Amino acid sequence: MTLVICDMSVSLDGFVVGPNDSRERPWGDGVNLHAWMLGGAADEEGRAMLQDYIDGVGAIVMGRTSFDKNEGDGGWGEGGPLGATPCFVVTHNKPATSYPPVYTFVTDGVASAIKQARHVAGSKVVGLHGATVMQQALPLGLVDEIRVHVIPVLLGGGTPLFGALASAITLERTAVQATAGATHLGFRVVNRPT
Amino acid sequence: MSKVTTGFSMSLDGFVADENDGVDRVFKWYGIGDTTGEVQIGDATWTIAEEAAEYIQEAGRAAGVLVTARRTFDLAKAWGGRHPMDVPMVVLTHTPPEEWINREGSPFTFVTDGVPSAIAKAREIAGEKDVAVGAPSVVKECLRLGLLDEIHIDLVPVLLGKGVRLFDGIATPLELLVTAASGSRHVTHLTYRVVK
Repeated sequence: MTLVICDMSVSLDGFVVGPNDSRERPWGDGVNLHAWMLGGAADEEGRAMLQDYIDGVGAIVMGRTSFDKNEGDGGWGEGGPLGATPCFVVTHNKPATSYPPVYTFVTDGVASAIKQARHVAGSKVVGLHGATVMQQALPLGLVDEIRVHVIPVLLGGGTPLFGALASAITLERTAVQATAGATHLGFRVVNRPT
Repeated sequence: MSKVTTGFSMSLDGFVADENDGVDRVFKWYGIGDTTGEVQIGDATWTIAEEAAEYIQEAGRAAGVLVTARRTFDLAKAWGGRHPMDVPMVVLTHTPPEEWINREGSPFTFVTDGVPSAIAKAREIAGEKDVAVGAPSVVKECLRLGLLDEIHIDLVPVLLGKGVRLFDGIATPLELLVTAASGSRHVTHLTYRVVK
């Protein structure tokens, strides 16, 4: 069965991006949480981890916020976050203008988007991109694995990765690796909310 | 100069206690292990996993004092007069509790004039050893004032969704340096130095 994974860089206090982020200032008042894998400061291990992720993902599910912030010129350009890997954007209303074919807009919720993404991903994994879809999918029992790259910084505010839950969700740690820029943790979701 | 440190067991989503101040879930890793050890709380001896007992004893050896807040003190019922780390304690409070003032053998010093004063008093007591901080409210204030040197997180594989946050409303991005990562399936020990 196609695995659905959330793979996100996060500050120690749990934010995926600092406050007041925008297209022009993608990290807002916070710091770049992707430095460990992208750009000049990235080391070999970080770049290798990023490549593994890219190679392993067959389809992406994201929310409208991620899409609006990053699509097109100055952002992802003609493709999605992983180039030609198909993206399913969960949104209330389909955009009026047309977008590159890598994107499919899903208006009937995250479960539907994940179902469609699974179909396309086949033997690869479905990657959840952004905090919104993670917070929607987790309580629905749709997330199989959580991988966090914990960056040694406290941001104090911004977009949290995890939201409120009606009841606790048990995880099992499956991987841990410390590199210069981050502590990488992998978890399997054990008791799935139904 | 000795370090000001803090250590907490924390869920992956940042909670050190549940919404009822319950810590059973975040301390669950204390009970998991093949061999056992003992810690003392007040007059009572508790049997826990050997690894966890050693961890607490080591923390108790490194620290010369524990600074905490009245809320934590009350929730723990004053640890029956003896904290598992077996160190003297400085308690921040507006009104020192009657029953512990001038009580023989009391490990508590009550400070009523704020965190900097409490940390200063704690340094006196600790001497060469470290000052440990044991309440989220005090950790927050120490971070704000630039008084905290080291943070130990025992990261527990659970998402609680709600409860008491350790890191709450820090004013500006604060850089840390990760110095260690270890542990088992049930807990990941992360050690950070605060970059000043």
